Formats: sequence, C-alpha cells, structure tokens
Amino acid sequence: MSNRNWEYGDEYIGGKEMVFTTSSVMIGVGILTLPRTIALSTSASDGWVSILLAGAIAMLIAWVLARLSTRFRNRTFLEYTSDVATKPVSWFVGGMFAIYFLLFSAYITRSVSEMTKQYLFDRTPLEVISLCFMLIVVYAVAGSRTGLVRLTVLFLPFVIVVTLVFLLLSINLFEVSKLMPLFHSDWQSILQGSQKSIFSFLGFEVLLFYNSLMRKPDKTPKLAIISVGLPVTLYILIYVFTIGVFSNEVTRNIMYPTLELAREVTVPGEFFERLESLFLTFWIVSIFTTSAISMDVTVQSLCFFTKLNKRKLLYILAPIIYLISMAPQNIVQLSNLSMLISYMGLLTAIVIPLLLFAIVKLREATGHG
Amino acid sequence: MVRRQSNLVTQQNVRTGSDDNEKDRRPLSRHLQQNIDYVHYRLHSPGDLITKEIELGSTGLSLVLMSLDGMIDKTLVQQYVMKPIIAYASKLDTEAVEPERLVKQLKDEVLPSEEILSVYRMNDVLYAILSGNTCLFLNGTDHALIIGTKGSPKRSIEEPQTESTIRGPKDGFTEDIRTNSALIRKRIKDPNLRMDSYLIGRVSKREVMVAYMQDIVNPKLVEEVKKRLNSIEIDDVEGSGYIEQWIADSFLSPFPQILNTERPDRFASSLLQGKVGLIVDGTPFQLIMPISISDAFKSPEDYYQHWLVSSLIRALRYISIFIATFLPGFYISLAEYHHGMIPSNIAFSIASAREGVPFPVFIEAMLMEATLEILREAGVRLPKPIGQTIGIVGGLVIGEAAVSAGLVSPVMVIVVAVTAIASFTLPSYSFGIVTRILRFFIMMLAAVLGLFGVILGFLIICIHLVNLKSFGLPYMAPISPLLPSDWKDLVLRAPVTFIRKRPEMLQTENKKRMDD
Repeated sequence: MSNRNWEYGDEYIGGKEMVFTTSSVMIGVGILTLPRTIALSTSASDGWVSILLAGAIAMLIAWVLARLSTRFRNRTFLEYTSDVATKPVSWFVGGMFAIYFLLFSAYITRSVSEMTKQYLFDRTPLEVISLCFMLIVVYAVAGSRTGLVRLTVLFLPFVIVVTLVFLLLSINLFEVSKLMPLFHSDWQSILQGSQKSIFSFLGFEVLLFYNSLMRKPDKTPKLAIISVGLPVTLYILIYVFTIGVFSNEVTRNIMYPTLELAREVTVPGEFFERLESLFLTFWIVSIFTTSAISMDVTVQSLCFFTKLNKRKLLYILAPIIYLISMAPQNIVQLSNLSMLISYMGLLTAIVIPLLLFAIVKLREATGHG
Repeated sequence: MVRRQSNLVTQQNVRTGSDDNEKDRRPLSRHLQQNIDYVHYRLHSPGDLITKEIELGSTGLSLVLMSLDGMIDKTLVQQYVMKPIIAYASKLDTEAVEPERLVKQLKDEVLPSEEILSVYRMNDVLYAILSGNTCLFLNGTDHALIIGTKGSPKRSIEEPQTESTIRGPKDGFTEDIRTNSALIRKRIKDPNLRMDSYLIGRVSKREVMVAYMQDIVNPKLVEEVKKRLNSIEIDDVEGSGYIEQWIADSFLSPFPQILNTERPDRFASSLLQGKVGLIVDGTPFQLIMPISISDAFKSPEDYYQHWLVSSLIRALRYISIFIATFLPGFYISLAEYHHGMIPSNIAFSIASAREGVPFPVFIEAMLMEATLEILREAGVRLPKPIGQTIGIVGGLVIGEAAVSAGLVSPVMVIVVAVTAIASFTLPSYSFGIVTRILRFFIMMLAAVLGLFGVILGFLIICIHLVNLKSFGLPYMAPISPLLPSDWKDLVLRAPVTFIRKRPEMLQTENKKRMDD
C-alpha cells in the first residue's frame, strides 16, 4: 500500500480546540457533588460567591501558566522544565504529573462506575462497568492526540446543551424564595466554600501539555481565561438551580445534588420519567473526556523519560489504573482517595508551575534567561 | 500504471515477464505476411478477428486491414476506410509506387479520419486491435496505421438508479468512459478541467481518468491520489469498488472514505468545490474524494430546492441517522433494564403487548432485524416486480403473522419498521449500509450494558470517527476540527448567494466561488 503522508497541517490545533479541551477536563465528576460541598459551608445561595472567587483564582493561575508555556512556544512542558530547572527537577515534575493524572483517571473511572451502578443498574458488578469504561478510554488515548482534542470539540457543546436543557426544564420547580436570604454568610465561610470548590476547577493545568500543539501559542493566555470562564458559568448556573429547587438544607444531605436535580425534572408530555438516568448517560460523555485526557497526559509525561511508545505504555498503564480504581473498598475510602488526589492536584496545578514561573522570571531578572 | 497519451496506443507494454511479451515489443517487419501471422499467432486466430486484404490496383502491392468484429463501428469502417481505399486503389497506375509514400498519402489524403496514427511496434498494434481500432498493414513498410474505429456496444444514457432526485437533471453515468467524460465536459467548459488518463490493471488495461480543476484543487491532493493509484498492482480493477477499496485510507472502517456517485451533476459540482474525481471505464459509479461525514447527508437535490426546504430535510436526515443507528438499542435497554424511565401508562401498554412473547427483548429485536435484512437482501437480488411482492409479503404478512402468533410484540414491529425507514433517508447507499452494521453493534451493547452500553457505543463510534481520515481530510470536518465557515453548508444549507467560498476544509488554491 502507498504510504499516506498528506495531512492538512494536522499536528496542530487551533484556539477553539484549546478552549474546548481545557474546559472539558475541568467539567467532570466535580460538578455532580459541588452544590453539596458548597452548601455545607455557606448559607442560602451565597455559595455562588465562593464559586466565582475560586473561579477567579483558577483563571489567574491558568493565565500565569499560559504565559509560562507561551514563552516556550511549541516545546513541550517537560522539555522546557528540564532546560529551566535542571534534569532531575523535570523528572520529579514529570513524575508528579504522571502519578497525579494516573490517580485522577483511576478515581474518575471508579466514581463513574459508582454512579452508574447507583442510577442505571444495581445488579451489574462494579468491576464490569469500570472495565468497559476503561477499555474505551484506552481506545481513545491509543488514537492520535489531535483526535483526542477533536473528540472534546465534538462532546463539549453536546454536554453544555444537554445541561442547559435540563436546567430549563427544571425552571418550573425553581423557587426564588429558597435562594433567600442573600449575603448572610460571613467571609470565612465563603472562603471555606471557595477552598472546597477550587478542586472542581482543577484540570486547567493540561494546557501546559497541549500548548505545544497550538498553531498560534501567543493567544493562549486569553484562551486560558475563556477556558476557565466556561466551567465557572456552568457551575454557578447549576449551583443556583440546585439551591433554588432543593434549598440549602436539603442540598447538604444529597450525595449527588446535580443528578437529583435531573430526577425532579419532568419532560413536557411526560414522555420519559426518571430523567436522572438519561442525564447521567449524557454526563458520562463529559466524564469520559476528562478521563481520556488525564490518561493522555500521564502517557505524555511518561513518554518523556521512558523509551516506550504510546501503545506499550498504555498496555502497562491500563491494568494499573484499573487496579487502583478498584482498590477503595467503600465510599469512605474513595473519598479519602479523592482528598489525596485533590491535594496532589493543588501541588501539580498551582505550586509547581508557579515555582517554575518564578524561576523563569528570576533568571530573566538576573540576566541568565 | 501507465499514463495514457493517445486514444489509440499505450506507450509501453504494461505486462512484463513472459517471452511473448518480450517479442511483442519488437519492431514490425517489412513483410506483410509476417506481421499478419504474428497477430494471428498472438490472438490465436479468434473467430471475431477480421482480416481483409485489398490489392492496390496493378502495383503488385496489397494492404491488409485487421480489426475485431463487434468492437468496431462497421458502418464507419465501410464508409470511411474501405470505400476511400478502394476508390484510391483503382486510380493507382501500374508504375512502381514507393510504399512509404503510399502510406503517407493514405494517412494524410485518403482516409478522412481524425484519429489516425503510425505505429512501429507489435504491442501497439495488438493493443489497438484489442481496443476496437482498425490496423492497416502495407507491404514493404516497417510501420502500420491505426485508425480509430471504436464502436463497441454501449448503453444509452439513463436516469440514475441509486440516487434519484425530483428536480435534478435526469442523466446518469453509463459504463462507457467517453460518454462519462463527455457528460462532465458538457457541464464544465473550462480549460482548467483536467482529465488525466491512466491504464490500470496489468491484464485488462482499464482506463481510469483523474479529473480535477487545475486552478482550484489543492495540488497535494492530486499528487496523493495519483500516488495511491500508482500503487495498484492487480490484473484487473473490475468496477470502481476495487479502486475504492485499494486506495481508501482505512480498510477496517465501515464508513466509506470515498464517495461513489452515478450523477454527473454531483461529480461536476464536487470538482468545482476542489475535490478530485475518478472516472473508471466499465462502471456507472464514479468516485469522488476526499469526503467527510457531512457528505453522507448531502444530496444534489438540496441545491436545487429552496434553502429552507433543503435545510429542514437535511436536519431530518441527521435525526434519521441517529434513529437508524440507536433506536433499537435504546428500546432494548429501556425495556430490558430501565423500566422506570418509561412513563407508567406506556410501560403498561408495552408490558401487555409483550405478554406471551416467549423471548427476551434482545432476541425479539434480533429476530425482527434479521428478518428485515433478509427481506431487504432478497428484494434487491430479485427482478424488480417480484422484489416488490417480496416486500409486501415479507413486510405485511410475516409481520402481521408474527404478531398474531405471539412471537413478537407490535411495539417491536413499530421500532424495527421506523428504524428501517429512517435508514433509507440517507442519499448515499453506502452510508445507509453503515447504519445497518452499527445498529447491530449498538443492540448487542444495549443487551449487555443497557443505556450505559448505548452511550459507550456512541463513544466508540465518535472515537473512531475523529481518528478517521479520507485522503488526509479529517472525517468529522467541519464539525471537529471546527470550521465555522463551512457550517453554511452542513445542517443548514444557506441561500446560494451566501455560500461565497469553497469549503475551507478542502484547502483549495482558489478559495472564492463568487467575486465580491
């Protein structure tokens, strides 16, 4: 057969693709429990301030990260890390990213299985559900990287539209009185809410890894802000609707408030019932992109310091991720894992890149840059 | 593969290796009888080989015409070859005539044919005779004249069978490559229309034309198409399906990566968009590449109707493909796993309809779908009038009987029927088949994992599609990668005055369709 070389400049992605990818990673499992975690620390509907605050912080950091990677246009994150701050440091950084995204991917696989078991079918074993999900994630990652990015372009609008439709359908259950009284929470509790919701914004750090694919990397800082802004808007909308439908007190006690919101919704004409199953089915698409991109970042990091190719790495990683995802014995252990991942996420998404940025700035200031 | 320069000869022999082929390449002999004997030896003196000897007056010279009966246009040979030669021969005087001058005279003055050529090698002679031309040998010359007298049987132009339209033109491609290229030339009268001819197939030497607009198309695309054509090493490419399968990007994908069409209007408009077409001799199905999934939903009809009408119909097609692929799977998962999602009154009627059905929903669905596929296949293979009878007997009688016998529920019959009809809304037959394959795949996933399985199936299809390419063009373009300017002709078919540019995804040289 002839070799098939001709490509449409295919190794690069545009600005829109970048926004879609970054937002897709952020919108995942976090939002399903977010209204509960925020309701626990704030009163009435004041949580939106927390989300906005956390979102603003995330935007700022994402902007700084984008600036950092724009400096080293079309070079991968780990490549320039090893230039700026010695090779051992880049190994440590790459290792941290690999482990974090590996755990993250495992956690997502487990929680999507938990939810599927709870809402879709209770007799099918958890192991089977996660295995199927995992296999498809592996199939996605095994394809080309631009293919993965294109997948997010396909799915994110779909997810956003589905969410908006569900919110619209629940508008007749919405009671403004449940949002009252406004601004009764003190600053401390709002900050506490922000601290908790920042975890739902983690994921924007993938732009460090995908920026090298950008056709015009100069635009990334602006795009980073849009990428974070999209989930912020979506989260605030979902949060306000959840509180407006359930009130703060009820929301505190629901495991997955966002899914329960879908349960309350009725389609005009009562064509379907129990829409939470349908909503979850659609939401699996969003969770899937998060998981697939996480696994891809793990693969990218590991490719940096092993000689293995992508396929071989996936053969090794897939069983590891599957075993980790099956390790927690119950919900308590799972949420412990999630806490561990969250703190690792803070380290990888915020501390490490900011330190790197500081080093770069410092070198420039002292003329070694 | 050989680039074909003239209508009458191939420049070199395609087949190599055997002794006879080596002999074929040798020059012609000056002795008339030797040449004639050689042709008879190579073709094994078939019954349809015509050898006509004409004495040239009293010169003592004679010439021989050779051709294959049935492949030539007989009236043409009689009127414009035999008649002038006989008239010319009777006028020749007894003085010795130089044979070389005689041939030159014959070629330039006597024979009123626009296709006439001198050849010096045996293989050219053989190819010319085999493709329906007449060969003229003369005593004492080392070359022969080939006269274009092709007239093999061909079908007249008829309405396309597979892609019918209401307002579109009614002419369709035929099996004859000259008719087909003329149908394109008739539509695009531009010197930039290129039709590069190649001979493909070691034995059959089938002609294939690569058609494109020189000033519009991306030159890399043409290069790639020619490169892939060049890789074909096979005795014969029977029909365009062979070529399609040989040069397509992925042979594992069920999705067609090259479009086949019977419609010259669609072919011509694709060329003008910046695509490359292949016209293959001997088939009415010509190929267009590259394509993306959006081409599955486009019919030439869309451009002849009002834009509102076509946009709505296109939207309908997009919905239909989802119904055709996912509906049975969705029904299986609802009925098997998620009873709670069906409103109670509907759930009751489904349950009462299913009362007494001895199979699980999945088996019931498979039975019905399999029956439908059998009916469809039988209907296609049978002669037209009987095919329709099969449709009625199969569809109505078996369906009705199966329901009253309690083997399947009426709801399942509705689901299967709607699905089948939805899959027929796609304008291209080869895309319709894909939904049939995917439907069974989704049904199996639904039977095992319910709605979760359906969504996983959806994910698998999407992953496959974003990684698929047609001649380098991403298959999901312009949806992903996102090319907003191409959305004017995606679901919505914008008014013609609005579509100012050629599709961006094709990366054409000349981007504008209209001047500002």
